[in-house]
Amino acid sequence: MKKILIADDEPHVSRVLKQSLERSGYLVETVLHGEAALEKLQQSHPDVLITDIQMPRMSGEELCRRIQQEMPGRCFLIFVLTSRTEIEHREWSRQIDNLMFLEKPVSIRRLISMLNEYFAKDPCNRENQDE
Amino acid sequence: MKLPFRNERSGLTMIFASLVVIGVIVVLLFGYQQESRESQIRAHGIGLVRLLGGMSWEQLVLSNGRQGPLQIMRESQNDPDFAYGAVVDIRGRPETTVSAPGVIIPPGPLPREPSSWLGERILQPGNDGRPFIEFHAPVFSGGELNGYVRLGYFKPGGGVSYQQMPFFASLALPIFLLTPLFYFLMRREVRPLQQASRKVEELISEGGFAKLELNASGELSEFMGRFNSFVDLARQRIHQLEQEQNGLVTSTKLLSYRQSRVEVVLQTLPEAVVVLDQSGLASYSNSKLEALLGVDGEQVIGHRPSEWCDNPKILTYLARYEGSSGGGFSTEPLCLSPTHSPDKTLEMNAYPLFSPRDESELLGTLILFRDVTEEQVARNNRGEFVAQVAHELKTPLNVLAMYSESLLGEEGEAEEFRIEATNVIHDEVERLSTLINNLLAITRVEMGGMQLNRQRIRLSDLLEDAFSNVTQSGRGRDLKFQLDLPREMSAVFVDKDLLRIAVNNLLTNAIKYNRPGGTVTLEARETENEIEVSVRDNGIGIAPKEQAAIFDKFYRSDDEQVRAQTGHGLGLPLVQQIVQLHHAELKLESTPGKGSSFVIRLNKGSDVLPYAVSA
Repeated sequence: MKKILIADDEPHVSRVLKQSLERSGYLVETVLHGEAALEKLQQSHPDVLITDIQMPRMSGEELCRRIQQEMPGRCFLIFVLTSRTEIEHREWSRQIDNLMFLEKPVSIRRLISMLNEYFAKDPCNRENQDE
Repeated sequence: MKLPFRNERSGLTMIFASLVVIGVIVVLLFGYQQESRESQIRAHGIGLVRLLGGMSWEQLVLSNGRQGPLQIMRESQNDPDFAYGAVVDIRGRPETTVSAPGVIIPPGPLPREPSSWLGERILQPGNDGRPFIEFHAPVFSGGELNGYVRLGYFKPGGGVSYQQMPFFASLALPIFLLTPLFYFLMRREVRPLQQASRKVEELISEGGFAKLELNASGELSEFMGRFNSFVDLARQRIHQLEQEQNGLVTSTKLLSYRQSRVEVVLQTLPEAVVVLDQSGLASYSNSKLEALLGVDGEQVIGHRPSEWCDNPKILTYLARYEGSSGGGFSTEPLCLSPTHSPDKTLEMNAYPLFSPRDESELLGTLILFRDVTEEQVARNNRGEFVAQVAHELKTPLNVLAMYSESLLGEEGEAEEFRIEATNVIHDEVERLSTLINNLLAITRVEMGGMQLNRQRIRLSDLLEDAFSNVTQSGRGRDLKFQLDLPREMSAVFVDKDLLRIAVNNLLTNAIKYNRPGGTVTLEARETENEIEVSVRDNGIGIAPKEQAAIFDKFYRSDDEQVRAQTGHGLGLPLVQQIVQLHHAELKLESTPGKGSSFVIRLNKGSDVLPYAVSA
């Protein structure tokens, strides 16, 4: 089962996303800020990270930088939920590999279809590894 | 001895010269007289010696003591120049002699040759007196030379005779008389010239340019007239020059005044100003250069930018205009951070300076540096504000979108989820509404266009109303609500809509950041000078380090208990601005874990009516 980590300080968002994604067959964990996300990534090795930008303690931008810096060769995809447009984050985001932006308000249905498509490609060849 | 006047000296010189002239004349006359006397003596002597030589020996030499021709001649002539007379024999022995007193007849050999018997000669007396001119002639007796007759005369010369004195005196007197006369006449002529000279000297020493005023006639009067005409001309010229000079002085003062005015304006400008001349050297800079670029304005004069500026962006920007004829100047400013103060943001502009007379002639380049740090910060803040607003708006929208989408899907079939979703959607709509109200209020306040719509109101009515609304929305929570108002309160003169927003925001926070079983208290107290409205809770409290930051727009604590509540960080900044608009005071007391107390102190002097109304 594919694991998804959600980092968002908005409890309603985490809650409804978790419900919907679990219903679609994903294993979902939620954290409230970047620091907790970084910790969780080391422990549970999720296949996708969904993170907000504005969070207490460590922002989504800082989280992505730290991942790029501390986890070389990582394979998982990062979805960044933003209130702004993708263009506004261009400067810092071009230094981060395997990153996609989702502008708010986010459609859960669209997110699930993107996730399904992503995993269908088996980008990290996880299935073979698991076998 | 130094004589006072030149003409005194020349007067003495003239007297001396006239004496010399007199002396010369006397010497010449004396010489002439000597010569003529000598000729007289010679003619007389020769004649007389011939006469005596024609006599016989016996006639000349008388015996028995009688007076001979020599004695007779001596007595009859009484010639002052006669020295002696003698008849001598062939050997020169005197037979008979006559002589002037004190004269010794000098011996003298007589000529042997017949051709020399008759003649004259000069003999020196034995006592070194005056020389004699002697005339001699042979005396015959019976056809035979028997002897000689000798007549001696004093040779003229060696002093003026008493008889000659009147002549010399009559000659010298007119010269003596004429010389001082001439001198005094000359002085009389010279005196006006001397006065004129003195006057001119005075005029020079006084530095003025006055006319000469003298009693003069003739050429001097003519000279004075011309001199005074010259003075008139000079005065006119000086007057003209003075006028021109005054004009120049006025122009210079005006120019100096204008220059100092321009200088003051340039120094007062907030911008740093540098002017480069045609050759690219700095010819002017104001004092702001040091503050903005860290370069002493005086030090840059006469130097190229590369010598006083180490910022490559500035040098590259200016390099484009080097050798330019005015074209190609960019209207785009250059934004840079100075090396000495990287926190600052400067805007730099370069403009061509054209000659006012010829617009095609480029005189140099004007460079302006402006500190745009605050503008940049404001721009950034504005951008940040808009981004924050977008975030705060999109967050509830996102929640609404997700829940509504989920409601339409399979999740919507579950009753439990539908109830949860409906509550969430309701809360988020409330949140959106509050956010938009706060945004509108804060924008109105910040734009400065907010006119307080002050009204005389019963504060207790406003507080009761707000308390009632908030407690209804917080009914589902495990909280106690207390309202503590005095029975009588002065009416207040406030903008009731804004004050209601402030009290609402404080009460909402007191509910949100409280704990189960906690209390929310709204209290009002009136003192002599002010009315205090306090909102208290015994909830999570605010850490001391955050107590100032919570009044910043969009500030949200990192505390998880705070984050667990929805919020947008605009409520407290708005409360503070509303309080400030009323010239009131907002006081916060808070202890983490024990609760917070926000107190609005309304000053009765300005905000409260001076009479009481019953509550």
